[in-house]
Amino acid sequence: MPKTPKNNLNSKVTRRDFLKSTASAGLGVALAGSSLSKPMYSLQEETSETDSLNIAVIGSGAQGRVLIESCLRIPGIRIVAVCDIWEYSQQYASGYLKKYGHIVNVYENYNDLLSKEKNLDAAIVATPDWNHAEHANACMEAGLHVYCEKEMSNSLTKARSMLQTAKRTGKLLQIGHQRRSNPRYKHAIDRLIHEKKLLGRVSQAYAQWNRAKNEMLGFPKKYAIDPVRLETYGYNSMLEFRNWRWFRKYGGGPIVDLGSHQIDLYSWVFGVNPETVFASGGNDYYKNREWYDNVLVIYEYATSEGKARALYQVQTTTKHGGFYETFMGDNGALVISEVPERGNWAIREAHAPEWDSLAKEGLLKSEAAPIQKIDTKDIFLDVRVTAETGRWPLPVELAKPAHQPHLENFFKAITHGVPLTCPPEVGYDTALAVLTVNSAVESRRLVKFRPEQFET
Amino acid sequence: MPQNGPPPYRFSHSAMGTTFETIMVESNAEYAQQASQAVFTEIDRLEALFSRFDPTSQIGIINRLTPGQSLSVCVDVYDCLTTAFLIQDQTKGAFNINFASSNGTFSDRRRKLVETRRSKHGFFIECLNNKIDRTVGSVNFDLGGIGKGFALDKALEILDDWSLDNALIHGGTSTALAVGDAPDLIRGKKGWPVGLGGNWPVLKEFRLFLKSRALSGSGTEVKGGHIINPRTGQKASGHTGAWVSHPSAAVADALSTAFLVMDPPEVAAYCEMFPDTWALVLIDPDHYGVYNDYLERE
Repeated sequence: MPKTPKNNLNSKVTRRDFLKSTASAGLGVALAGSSLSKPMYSLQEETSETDSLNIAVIGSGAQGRVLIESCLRIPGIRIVAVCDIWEYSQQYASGYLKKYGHIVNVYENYNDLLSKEKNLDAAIVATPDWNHAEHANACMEAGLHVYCEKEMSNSLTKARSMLQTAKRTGKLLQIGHQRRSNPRYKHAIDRLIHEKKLLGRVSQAYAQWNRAKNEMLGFPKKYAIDPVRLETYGYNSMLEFRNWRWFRKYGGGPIVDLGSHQIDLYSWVFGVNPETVFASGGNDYYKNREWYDNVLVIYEYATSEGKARALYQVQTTTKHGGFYETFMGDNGALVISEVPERGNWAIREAHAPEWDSLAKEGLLKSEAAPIQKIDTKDIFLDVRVTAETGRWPLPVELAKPAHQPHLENFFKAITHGVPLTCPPEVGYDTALAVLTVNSAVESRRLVKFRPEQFET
Repeated sequence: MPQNGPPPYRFSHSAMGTTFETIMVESNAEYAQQASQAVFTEIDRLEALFSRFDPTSQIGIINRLTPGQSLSVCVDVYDCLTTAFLIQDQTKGAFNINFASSNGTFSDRRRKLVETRRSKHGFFIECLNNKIDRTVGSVNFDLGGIGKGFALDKALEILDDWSLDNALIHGGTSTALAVGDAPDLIRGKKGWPVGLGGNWPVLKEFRLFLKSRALSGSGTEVKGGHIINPRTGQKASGHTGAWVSHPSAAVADALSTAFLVMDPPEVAAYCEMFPDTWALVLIDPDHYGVYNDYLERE
């Protein structure tokens, strides 16, 4: 057997080096140069950029990266500037964008970005919640349309200031409740629940987001921000900066970070904002965090069809069941999740009007096997050990990152004037409904909303 | 917090259908735990892109492309697929992420089903129009033979960010990647000592010292059992086991699968052409061959 050493032991050949060296040896697979037929999924078409937009991303941490990843798949979107107070996030974002050929200007301070970047059309704000109003308002004042991550703010006063700035400046402000643009959710709620009355009278909803326990996030020591500079930006420590979601100064806790996405759907489905909220929660598990690590919530809604109630649960110490939403009516239930395996189907009540016609229209699929007539055996029925309760899967698929349609809606609102799916009025109302949960937990009392508190 | 004892600290995480583990030489237990958390977050991100069981993952979507359709993918999917296709070509189909087509036919290695392409607009996977030649098969990518290694390569970038220069990480023990040195160096050896797993007496005392390299193993403890030769679609008549070391964990992962069904002369020729590749092939329970035998071992 051959045993002769052939290379320098100290060489460090990475996978990328390996690809380069083998390609130059003529062994690499050919990279396509041929023209493509039009992509069905059209995550990014290589066609016209007549509606191209220049975008700045303010906040390139975990959520900013998710949004950047989606932007890279939208034709005509050019990310030209990135802003973050953390060098590690700056480097990651600019390095990642460089792989796609986007050479960006990098800023630490958003004021510098706004004063130097003169060809921007819009900004994406993905900073911690407590900075949303400051950053979004400054961008709108500078003449930019803004896509701002949810929650609009951890303060209702600040959230209202964003709404007022949007109205005064006439700039678009999309709030990042991305399910509002997801074609699966639009089909389920607008088409099936509202238009087709699939579930009949919807009187109950349940949603949950359960996550496994996790330790606080750390940071690479060589990227620690100098304490003085950190304080300049309002953070007490790197620990609080990295884990801002758990601290009252900067965020709203799990009910806001996770629950807000799903509680937002309740108002969409019921067509009204909540009347009351009662909640129980606590800082029961983690001793080094300020916000409640588990919360149970009950909302009441006065819908056009009568009273409805919605239960919500967020847990951060068990991932049992994951995250999904269920809407229940007298004719059936619909289970949906941003991850389709966890929810993407309707279940029909036995007495409900038939759904076969909806399946024929392509609005539903059916897993239910029809009851078979038995012709070959001298019996009326095969009695089974379990009753078949077939589900009716939803037929709409999203073959894109989950945030992409919401960004597309924002960009099309700029270029083509289509309505925003989550304008600031909707974002504010959801913020009001969700942030009030924390007040309800603290007071341990039923909290009543006044209709005039809401914007829609 | 560390899962056991004093340093080096070990942390584990379930992903990609197996258990990943980090073993770190770091005096601060909390720092080691936080770095591991960052590593596992990166692996989870890649799993969400790579999983063929998730119809919304990028691989899940690619597997449903029909001829003529294309998909814009993220750079990691592009890189992993490009690496896989390159090794498929170099090994003449002994490694093939598509050997079992979705339509049940055996995928012909001579025909490409997709094209990878990068342009100023990003990275694309195009499903080629093989028209009516159904013997070619259809797209059904399974990154099980390379994804874990790819994830380890990416994890190494995270460890570098965190200035953790001495660490061993592995995915389900079948692919391991080591940087720097283990604590308490053994008799002056450098790197991380690892063994070759399995109940083969001939390899029982085999110990390699990995440093800035990966080691991946493939095989079955029952000769020929459950291994399909991608070149033929038939049960493999190859070796009992194959281990490959390479600076890239993705490459080591893929090659260990390929070498399991390649003849010894083919493995020898490959290793001669690509000297960064170290290989040990267990031809039968009592005999093995080592190719490019330069790794420190005892």
